[in-house]
Amino acid sequence: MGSLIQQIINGLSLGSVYALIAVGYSLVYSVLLFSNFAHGGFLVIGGYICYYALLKGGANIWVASLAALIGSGLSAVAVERMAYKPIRERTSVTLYMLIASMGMSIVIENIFVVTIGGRFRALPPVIPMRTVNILGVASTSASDLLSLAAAVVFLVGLQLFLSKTKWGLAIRAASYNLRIAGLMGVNVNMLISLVFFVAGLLAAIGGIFLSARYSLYPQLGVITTKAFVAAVIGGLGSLPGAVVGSLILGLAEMLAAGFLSSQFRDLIVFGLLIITLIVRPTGLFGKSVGEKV
Amino acid sequence: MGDYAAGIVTLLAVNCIAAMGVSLFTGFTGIFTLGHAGYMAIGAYTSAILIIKCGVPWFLAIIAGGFVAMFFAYLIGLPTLKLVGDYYTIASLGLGEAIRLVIENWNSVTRGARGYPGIPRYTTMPVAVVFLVLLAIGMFFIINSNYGRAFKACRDDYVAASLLGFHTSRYRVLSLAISGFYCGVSGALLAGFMSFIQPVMFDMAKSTELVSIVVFGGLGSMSGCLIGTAILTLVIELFRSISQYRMLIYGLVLVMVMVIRPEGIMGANELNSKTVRHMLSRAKVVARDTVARFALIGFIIGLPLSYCFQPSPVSAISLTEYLRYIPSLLFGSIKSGAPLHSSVAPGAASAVLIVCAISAFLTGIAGYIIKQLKKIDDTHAAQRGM
Repeated sequence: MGSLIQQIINGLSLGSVYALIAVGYSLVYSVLLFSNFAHGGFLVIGGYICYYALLKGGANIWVASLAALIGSGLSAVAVERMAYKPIRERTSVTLYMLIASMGMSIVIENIFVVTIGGRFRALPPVIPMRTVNILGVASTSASDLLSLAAAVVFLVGLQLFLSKTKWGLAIRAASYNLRIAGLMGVNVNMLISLVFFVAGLLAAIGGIFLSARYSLYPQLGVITTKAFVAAVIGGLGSLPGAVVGSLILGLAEMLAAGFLSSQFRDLIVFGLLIITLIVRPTGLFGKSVGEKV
Repeated sequence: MGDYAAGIVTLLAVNCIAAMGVSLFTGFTGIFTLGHAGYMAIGAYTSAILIIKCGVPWFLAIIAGGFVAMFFAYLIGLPTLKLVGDYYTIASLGLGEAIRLVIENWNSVTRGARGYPGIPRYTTMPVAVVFLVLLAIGMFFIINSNYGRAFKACRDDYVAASLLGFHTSRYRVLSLAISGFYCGVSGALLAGFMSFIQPVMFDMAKSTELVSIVVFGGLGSMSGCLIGTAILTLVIELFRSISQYRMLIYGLVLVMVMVIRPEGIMGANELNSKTVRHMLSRAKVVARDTVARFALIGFIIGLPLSYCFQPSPVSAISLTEYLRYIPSLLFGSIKSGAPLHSSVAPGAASAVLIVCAISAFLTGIAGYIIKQLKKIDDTHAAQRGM
């Protein structure tokens, strides 16, 4: 019983990290309707900024995290300006942006490989790793609880931003129809930059927690594959779907690792994806995107 | 022909077959895929297991590999291709990984992550080339048939296509199944070429490589995809020595192609006499406008560069002396074999020429890119002005 609760807490914490990544990815998808594969790169950029701010800059964890969030957000905006803006101004074919994002993800990964090197790095022990006893029934590491709490704070913050502010309204309008939002006087370029900034920022938090949980290396961005899968399970372009999908995925992965074998955890993830697509193709919360005339 | 050259031609043919499959699905049906290496893996392992465990002749095993991959592609396509959007893309990403994981963990059949050794080397150069020619002819008939036109209709405007009575999702699944067959055959040939297969050979990097080849060659052009495969396979062979920068350049090229010329080398055109004539006339204009000018600059830059990087016998002479030799190096003395200075060997002459040619070529390309970027800016300015 204790180990079950422990695995559930671990699963929720892993799922919440996936949720931070998946929500940013879904946000970009809902506005621009393309899969931004460079999203994993933002996560790695955030992780490395945090690492170097802690190690070389001598900053404390709050300053380092803030630098990572802003740096990752700005690099996301820069990627959008350099690679996607010229394409989206010329054509409406989202396939081209998809391929450009694939290229950007390779570029970001290999910039780190070439300049810093591909070896694994451990984040300095700034996130408490000691075990915490919960009501005497289970024990879990403090970093798991911390990442869960951070994810909740940021997701609630995002929800407030989207529902209460004027820019949030503009983003919601753009996710219905970007073109009409532009006609209604929304500065579309500004809005897309903002969306990328938010996506990069959320990815950086995920990056910091993932590099604390595992370790930091240029290919860490591959983990976003699972966040993409979570977004599809929840329904592409839906933010609540992304959160729910991520939690399901995190739970499934941890329970599989705990009670079956850790070799099965990735298989379970992709099995869930296939089953969801067969049973409910648009995902749990997906808008109906079937063919209609 | 040497063994090395024959190996490269075989590898080229194998890559071309897989690229044709991806081209049909991504270029002609318009759905991005990141999992086609998974179908190659299925083809490779199917044929390897059939040959070693069941003693099936290699020819039948290759065909079987293709059909098994086709069957899996069909199964995957049914639920995912009913939807428009990136559902298949993400599913293919997961699927490619899932196939690899199954192969890695199913030790009793696939021997796991350590790989499957001892496959007979049945893929010689003639075998690969014959398969390539046969499959290319097949592909030619497919894309010029009613089916091919239906695929293109689904790509260009699926709403209009379904209004015309095409069952668009069924055509998408069909296209995926055919491309799965091509990838399966390619994987089976690869197994016979390498004689040792490993799950890592079919990871996401391979899928990315396949799709970027197709994009580079031109979405919607079969000959473009073959040209793209030839160029990229050769470039990868050439740049083996600087492999750590290879992927960086690869990614940059992918982004640049999308920004500057998203239609790839060939666009949606096939290589026939009309496009060749058109391209030649365009090339003439481009050459007159930019490349020639920048090539001249490159030549001027190349001369001092060639002095700095000259082979050792020449390093003793001064720059003025060196410059005096250049005319004689370029005209005549190479042939006559009697250079003015005894230490200026023919090797030095060819080094000068090579460095000049390379820098002229690079600056020519840079000039072309600058010009294209300027053109994009102009179009944007014109659009804003309207």
